[in-house]
Amino acid sequence: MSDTLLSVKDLVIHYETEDEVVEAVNNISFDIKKGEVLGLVGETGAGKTTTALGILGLLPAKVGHVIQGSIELEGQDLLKISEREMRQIRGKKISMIFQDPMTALNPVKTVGDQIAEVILLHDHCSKAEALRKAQDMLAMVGIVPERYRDYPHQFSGGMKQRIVIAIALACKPELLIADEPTTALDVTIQAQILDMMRKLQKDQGTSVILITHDLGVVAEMCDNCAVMYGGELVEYGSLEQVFDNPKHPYTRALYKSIPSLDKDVHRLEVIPGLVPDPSDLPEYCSFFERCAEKCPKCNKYDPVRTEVEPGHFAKCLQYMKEWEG
Amino acid sequence: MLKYIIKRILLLIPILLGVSAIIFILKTVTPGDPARQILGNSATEEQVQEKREELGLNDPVIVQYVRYIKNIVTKGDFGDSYRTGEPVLSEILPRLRTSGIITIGAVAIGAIIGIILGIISALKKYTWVDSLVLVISMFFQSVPEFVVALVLIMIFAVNLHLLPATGITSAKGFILPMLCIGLSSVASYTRITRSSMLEVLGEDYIRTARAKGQTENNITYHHALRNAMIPVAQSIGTSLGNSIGGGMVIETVFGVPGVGKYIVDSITQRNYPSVLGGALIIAIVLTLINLIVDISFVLIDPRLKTTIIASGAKKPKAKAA
Repeated sequence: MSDTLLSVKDLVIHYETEDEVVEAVNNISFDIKKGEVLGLVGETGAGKTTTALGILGLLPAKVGHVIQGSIELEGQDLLKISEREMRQIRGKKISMIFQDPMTALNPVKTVGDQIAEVILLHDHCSKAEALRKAQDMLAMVGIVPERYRDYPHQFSGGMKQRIVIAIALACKPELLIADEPTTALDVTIQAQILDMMRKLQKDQGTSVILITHDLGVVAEMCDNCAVMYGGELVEYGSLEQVFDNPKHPYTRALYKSIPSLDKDVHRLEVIPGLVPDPSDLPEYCSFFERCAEKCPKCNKYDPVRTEVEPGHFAKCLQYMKEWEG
Repeated sequence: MLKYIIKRILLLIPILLGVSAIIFILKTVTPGDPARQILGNSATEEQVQEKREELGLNDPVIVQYVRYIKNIVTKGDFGDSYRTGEPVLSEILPRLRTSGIITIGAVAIGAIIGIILGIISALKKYTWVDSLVLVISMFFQSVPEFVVALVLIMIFAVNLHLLPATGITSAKGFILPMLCIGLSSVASYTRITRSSMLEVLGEDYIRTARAKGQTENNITYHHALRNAMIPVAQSIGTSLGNSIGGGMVIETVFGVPGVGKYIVDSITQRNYPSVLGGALIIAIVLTLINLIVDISFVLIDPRLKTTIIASGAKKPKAKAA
């Protein structure tokens, strides 16, 4: 398909230390079309950030390794190109918004310089021109452009996240990876930032991978939704498919744990147990221990991804025809 | 900013009063008679008494103390050296200059080598390069300064005849003492730089810079280094202060007329005006150095600017430079 921007296939990422191997991402595949917003949902430790860092080639040096798979951006496999070529892509074609705006900016550089830096790296222009563009970016994210000479400590958390977004969008990237962009902010600021991101995404036609553990954010922002558990993609489909007709027991359990305005519930349901230790994943389905719908076969086989309806995938034994009955 | 500076300088007053009071008390409790020391063993008891009267040593300590402070404040007079009869101030200032030059040179040598080695070992962490740097810098730290001094004299003065072994007759004389003190401080700068660099390189904003597509070299020198220099600058400030008055061993080995040696000699000679004057002048210099160091931090870390301005006055926010 020509309108596919990014295609991740069979990606496996391990963190290898002297003592153990952490299987952070296990065999995940997904595509993103141009202009699409994909929500990547999962608990802490599900491998969401690792996937993002893998795409950008920013896995921690020496520890993080892509074991197999491919990450194709417009047909070019990012895992096969040189570090030099990858630098041309970072910030220009793919950029990233990090989770904590408090620490994502360099405290000793002015915000104008930090925005201008990415412009200077990718758009061949003079320092003055870059600084002018940096001021435009500040205006775009709703900050008085004259404040480009201020330092990060002179801004509040929400303003810092706006600056981080300005840096990420400065070179009009084709793909924006937003790693929990609102987790560190308070609720009113969250809404502002999400509104702004949605507006900018529409204006620029950027594709977005929105990493979050907040299903509400996904419902508001995304076209498609991917649910990660234990480093695997357990369910993938359009927003409507995943929200209205969740197929995987984990996704269903997640919905039951969300407070609802329409239903009078005394106590929210919780998913019993803990996320499996990624350094010691079971041979069988990694959700087995916590699953409310498990069958006797579930701890014998590791299910594969099955298409339950057109474009809607789930990784659960109950949909695999050959095991039925 | 100005208010901050004035406030810091006013803080000198209690510091100096405290330092002088302590030395005055020590003077009364330590044995030995300065008058006897000056006149020698052949002097008669009357002569000694006369000298004591002349020096004002028979007055109560508190009277002596107030007189001493009054002379400093009104006349800038730190008293006369018992040994030479010269004003203490004019004896100390040239020595302070010598010690100051050596200290600044030594700190510069130590910091430059240390910072470079620290960056190298942070970038090559856990490799043989890192270990080699550690061994070299530990070597210079563990070998006593006077041994390094003797080795340097052997090489540069005795064998190569490049530099004088002792004394400061020309600018060349400064080189060996500087080198000697500098080399022994390399280790601490290396380790501070290394650990600070490693910490900074793990920060989120370094990852942000990588995500912009920035090269590793620019990340190291433009993003990491300046942040990593904050603790190093603090340590430079401390060692500037410490080594001005503390260069006794090196000053002795190289025959340098410095402040450290002057004060130690004065102590052994019960030459109290020189001890007191030396201590006070060093206290003043240290306070001023600390002030300059603190202000210069603002150049490295803009976050401190607001702190300093806020502590000085409720001024409107200064324009960022």
